[in-house]
Amino acid sequence: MAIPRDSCHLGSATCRPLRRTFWCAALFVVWLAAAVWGSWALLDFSLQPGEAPEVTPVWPAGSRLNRGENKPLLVVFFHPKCPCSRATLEELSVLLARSRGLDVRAVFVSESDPDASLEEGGLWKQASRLPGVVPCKDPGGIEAAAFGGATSGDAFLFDAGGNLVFRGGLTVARGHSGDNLGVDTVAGLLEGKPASTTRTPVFGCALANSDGPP
Amino acid sequence: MNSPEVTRLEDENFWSARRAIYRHTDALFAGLMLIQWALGVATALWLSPWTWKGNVASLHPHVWASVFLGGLFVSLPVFFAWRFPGRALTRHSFAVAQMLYGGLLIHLTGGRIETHFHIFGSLAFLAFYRDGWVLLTASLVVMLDHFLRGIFWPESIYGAIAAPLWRSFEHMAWVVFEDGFLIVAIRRSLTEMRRVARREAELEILNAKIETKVRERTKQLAASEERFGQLADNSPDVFWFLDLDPERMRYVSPSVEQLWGIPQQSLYREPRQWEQCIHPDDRMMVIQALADAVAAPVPTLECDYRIFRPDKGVRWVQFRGTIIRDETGKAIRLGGLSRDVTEQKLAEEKIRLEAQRLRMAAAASGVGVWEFHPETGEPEWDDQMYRLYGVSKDSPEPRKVLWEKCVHPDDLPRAREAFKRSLKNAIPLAVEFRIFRKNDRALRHIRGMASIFRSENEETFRLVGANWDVTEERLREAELRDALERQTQLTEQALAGERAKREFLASMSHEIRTPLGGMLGFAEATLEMDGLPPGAAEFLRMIKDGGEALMRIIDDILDFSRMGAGQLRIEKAPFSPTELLEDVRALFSHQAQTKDLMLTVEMDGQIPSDVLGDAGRIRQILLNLVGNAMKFTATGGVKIKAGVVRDPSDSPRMEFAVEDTGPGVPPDLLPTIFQPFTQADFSNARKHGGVGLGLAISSTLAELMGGTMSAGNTASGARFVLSLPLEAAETRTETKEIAPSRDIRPLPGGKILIVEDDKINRALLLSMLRNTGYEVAVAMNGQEAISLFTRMRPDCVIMDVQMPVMDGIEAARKLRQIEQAEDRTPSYIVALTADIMPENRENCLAAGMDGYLNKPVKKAELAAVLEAAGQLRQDRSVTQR
Repeated sequence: MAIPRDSCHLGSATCRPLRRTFWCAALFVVWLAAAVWGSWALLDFSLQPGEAPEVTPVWPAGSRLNRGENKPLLVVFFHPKCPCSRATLEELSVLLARSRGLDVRAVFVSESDPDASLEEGGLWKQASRLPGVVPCKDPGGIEAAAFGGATSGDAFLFDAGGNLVFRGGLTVARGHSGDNLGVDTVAGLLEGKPASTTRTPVFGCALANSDGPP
Repeated sequence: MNSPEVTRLEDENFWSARRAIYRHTDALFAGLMLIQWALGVATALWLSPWTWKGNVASLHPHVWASVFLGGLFVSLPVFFAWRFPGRALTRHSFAVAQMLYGGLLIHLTGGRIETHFHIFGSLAFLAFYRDGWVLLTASLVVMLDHFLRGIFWPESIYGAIAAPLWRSFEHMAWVVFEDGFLIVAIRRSLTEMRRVARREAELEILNAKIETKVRERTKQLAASEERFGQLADNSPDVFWFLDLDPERMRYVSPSVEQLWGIPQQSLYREPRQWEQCIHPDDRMMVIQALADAVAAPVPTLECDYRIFRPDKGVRWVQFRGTIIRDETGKAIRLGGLSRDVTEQKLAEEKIRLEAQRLRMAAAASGVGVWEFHPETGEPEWDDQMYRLYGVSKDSPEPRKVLWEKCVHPDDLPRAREAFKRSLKNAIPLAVEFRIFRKNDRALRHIRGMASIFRSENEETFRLVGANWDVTEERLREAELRDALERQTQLTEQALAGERAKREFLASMSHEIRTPLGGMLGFAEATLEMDGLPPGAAEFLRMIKDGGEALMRIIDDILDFSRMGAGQLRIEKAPFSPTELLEDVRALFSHQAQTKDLMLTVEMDGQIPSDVLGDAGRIRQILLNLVGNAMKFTATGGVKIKAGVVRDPSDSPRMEFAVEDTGPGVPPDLLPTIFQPFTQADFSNARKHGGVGLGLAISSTLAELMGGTMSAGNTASGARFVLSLPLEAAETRTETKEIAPSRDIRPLPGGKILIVEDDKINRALLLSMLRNTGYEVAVAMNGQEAISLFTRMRPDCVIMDVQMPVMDGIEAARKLRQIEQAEDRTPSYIVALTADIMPENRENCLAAGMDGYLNKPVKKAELAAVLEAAGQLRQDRSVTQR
């Protein structure tokens, strides 16, 4: 039986010159290493949380947000153009599914001047379609500053008494939906379960430019 | 088909197909990955183009990742696909890249379960390679990715901050599950590919064989075309192919120029040009034949026609062609061969004319022709055969039966046997038989002849024969036979008459000359006696002259008779003309003296001393001429001249002329003077006797000797000339011969036996021998002579030829026998005969005789005989001593 020229699978001396095979294999190894490194770097980026400054443990006094009835209220701050926040809204919908009746205030932080185009944004529309979610505008980031929100997706859960029981992100990484500690914690708190933690990292864009005036 | 060659080709085809799949799938994946990359970048730009810090946007890291990390994933396999398509490393790099890309996608989508289908889709795509090892590589990458990320970054792959280990194994199991299906599919596909490869191998071998066969056939076809080209180019025949629609000459061989006188190239330009050369009488026929052949489904077209060439005149052309049709039956091409058959046509015409002439000749001569082939056993007849046998051509009976019925029953076995013998031995037949003609039952004689004609290979033959009626011929032959028989009878009768005539002549000669001889002898003897009374001598002399005249007449009659029978013989021997003329003169000297005439001889000095010729016959002519001259001359004289005449235009001749001073020959008689029984004076009062045979005999003798006789008159009388060819003879040696004495010499003791039945001759001989001293005995016949011979022992026997009891021939033969028996000295036997026929003399010599004496016996001749006998006795005595 004749030996086919390409009967080898990993490169054979009978098929091609050894030198070329070597360089090809070396190139493959380098390439593979680069690919793994690149993947790791991207993964690492995805797991980098945004800023989460310390906040007061109660409903901010100067907030103009409607507190509503004496029931738990979840306030989530969004950067209207943060792509990662779509995952937050998706997880929010999961949370709403688990905790029916939960009131949510989706606060979209915008520039200081009222932004009419805000309502045209995808996140606004997505939030508007969620039951119990009230999109709110926060021109100039006043509310965000009042609550201490600095990263899109930063969520604050207040109990019926207006006490902050949870603060953090509802996703596991930037733009990553799926089971995560934030949603489980909020849902558990709403169900009256004890929480193992009340803070989770927030993954999203910064609500304000810390390098300059917002 | 299961040969090593098939297996080798199968492997080649199989791996060639797989390499093609590898290269094709490499290209597919290269495109796919580029599209994936572009989609990734586009998706990143669409979903997350920016990352924000407040209202300050910057390019999202996902965009960078999609550009660079995605580009990194794409770069190597695409490069390998570009540089090393089909190589194992290329497809394995695609497998790794594709799985990494899937992992990245899962990560970017936060481990959404939907994006895991990218893994399964990619595996399915990778199965396009139909290489399980590629699936293994890809699956290992996926498993390793799931395993590691499931442990360290579960949120990256499962979208959860924590994932149990079994979840990774579950994903691996699903991958393995899919791999299982894909590998089964790959194996089936490979099996199918190998089956196809084997089929292709078989087809290739078959194709190779077919191609080899095609090449061989192509080569053969090329060789055939080359041979055809050589044949066509060098053949005197014209090969041509003509397309019909549109009309175009596809090929015409160069010999068209020799046959048609049309340039080859011009026919390509104008195919119909050849029609113009066709003889006007044949043109429409040829065109119509071509049109019919094109219209009708006839496979071949045969046509002979004439063409006219200014340089060669009318030529015959034979065309044999074929109509070539397409699948619908439409005639598309006309191909054929044209040949110059002028010589053949002329030969056929010649043969046809000859056959026509032959038939006409056969019909005119009544010859019937038949042909028989042994294979068929039945002869073929032409029309004349039917006429010969009186048989209708429409007769249902076989010709063999008809023939046997017609042949005469007595001749049928012989004719049949001759035919069978000819057939069996393959030899020509020649037979004649009789037939009863069927229509009129007439008996006819038929002559049959046949020849064998063999086939070229000598294996078969046929008989071709002719019959003709020879009845008339047979009738004429019968008449001729009868005529011959009658002629034979007449001839026998004529011969009998001739014999009787000869016997009569001999008898007459004997019967007349014998007594006449006796009379002359006795007259001469009496004249020699002394004391004769006055006047007696004169009377006796007159008796003697009268007897001699009578003897000459008898001799002339005998000679004339011999001439008529063609029995005269001319001898040729040397003789002296001088002596001959002197002898003649001496014979007539006494008569000349008596008539007081001058008898002279004049001889030309040119005459040779000896010449060749018949001296006796010349002497006879001269005696006749001189005798006539003496007879017709009263006064004056007779002159005998001899001379040689030399004519430049002819050979020299010897002339003897006899001139007299008589009255001459009447002029009206000169033309017939040499005819028999012609005389100058037939009147009752004529003065001279004779029967008129002398000149006729002389003329005939002269002609027999190659000479001529002429007669004329001179101023003084007649002149007769004998002209003979001069043939000089060698000069004879002069021998001194003793001139025979006119008297018989006495010889005492000599014995002579005379055998003679005629008493006068006996008495004459006895009177001549009286007083000679010889002892003479006489016998009456041969029988007595034998008796006396035994007792007497004579020296000389004078034997008459014609005698009763025993003739002289028989007696002489017996005497010689006696001499031999008794060892005696032979006697001198001389015949005594009045028959001067030459054959008689020859018979005498043949019987043992030594010489002969003519009757009437002259004394001088007898003396010479006795001298010869005496000389012989002396010679024999000396010999005996």
